[in-house]
Amino acid sequence: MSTLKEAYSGKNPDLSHLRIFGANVYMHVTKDARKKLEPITEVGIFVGYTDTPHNYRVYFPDSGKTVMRRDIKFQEEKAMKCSLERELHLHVDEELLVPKDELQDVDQPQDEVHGVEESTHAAPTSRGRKRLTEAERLAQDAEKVVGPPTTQRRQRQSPDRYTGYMALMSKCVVTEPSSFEEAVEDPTWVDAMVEEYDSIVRNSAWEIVPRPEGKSVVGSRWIYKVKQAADGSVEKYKARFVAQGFSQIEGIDYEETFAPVARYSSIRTILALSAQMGWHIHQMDVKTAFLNGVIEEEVYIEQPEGFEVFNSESHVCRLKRALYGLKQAPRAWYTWIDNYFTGLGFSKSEVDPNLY
Amino acid sequence: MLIIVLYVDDLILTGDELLILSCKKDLATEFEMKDLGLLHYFLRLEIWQRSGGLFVS
Repeated sequence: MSTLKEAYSGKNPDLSHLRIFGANVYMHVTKDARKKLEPITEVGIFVGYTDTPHNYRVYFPDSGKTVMRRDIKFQEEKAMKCSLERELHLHVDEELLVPKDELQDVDQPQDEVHGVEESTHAAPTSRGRKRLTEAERLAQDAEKVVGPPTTQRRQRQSPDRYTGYMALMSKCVVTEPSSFEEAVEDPTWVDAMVEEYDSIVRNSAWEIVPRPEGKSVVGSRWIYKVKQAADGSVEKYKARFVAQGFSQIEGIDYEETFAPVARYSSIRTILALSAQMGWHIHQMDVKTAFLNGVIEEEVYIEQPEGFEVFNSESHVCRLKRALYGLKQAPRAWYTWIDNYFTGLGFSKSEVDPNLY
Repeated sequence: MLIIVLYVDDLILTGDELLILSCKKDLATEFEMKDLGLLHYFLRLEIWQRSGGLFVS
């Protein structure tokens, strides 16, 4: 029997980086991070892969943190056999053992879990566990496609012995809501939305107007993103209100969309130059940058879900500032900051329009 | 001498220290900015600034 890839290219995919899910992981604690008599290793549980090759997601029960590490040693022999459950019963807080019907999304730790299934040498226990969650997910996917069943259906229950696994996943993998309905249930995300709405209002990005006749109104929606710090811990919950720019029509809703970005070679040149001159390099970033960009065209978008103006629910927003998702947003922002710099008396590089 | 590189909403400033600081102040009054201090991570480049020079990986 050969894999698809083998049949196609004659080579088998490289699976050497795959590890047994739930294996114990030993991480060296560097000298400056420990005191003299403190242990030089920390034990964690392998819970998944990352986008970066040979980087693994490791859950440390003692600190309750999930981090991405590559400098770790695996101990797969003793891996499965109860160790996971044991750890969990020791460390997982009671409130994590949520009622089963709320577990819907918990077992969607994105691609990491897919990777594990390919692990042909996984211990029997781990495979059993995997197969079940996979089956469940498939069932859920199918449900989404078909829509809510009209006939009565059997209450699906995951056996108790998987609760630990799910609780672990829910702790390690922060799920991002995919819709407003989902997000509004969670105070963290509501706060994030209020923050975004505030900054839109602060920048007076739009005015609320009656729905214009004969004009198209661009759709809008909320996007939820968990921002992770470099070590994989949660840095920020970010809700972003975006325009669905794909429904804009060229020539009517927007004209030009091109915006230049700095060339990589100019960045490297500047680095070299400042090293040579002994300059310090500072960095800043502009919060909600696009909201500074001025929109010249007449663009209307739907009001943000959940933030409709009272008594004007059917009104729409006439955009004055650029929003993420709008076709002309990057260009509007670039035009704005370019004017700002040249207004300050900076001269623009002739070879890179992002160099002043 | 002050050089600015713009990458969408990220800015890199280098040159005379005094000019950098005053430019940062100007920018902060014009835009909502986050001052990230000395550059250490930019577009997947890790940068270490030491008195003798600069280390990029």
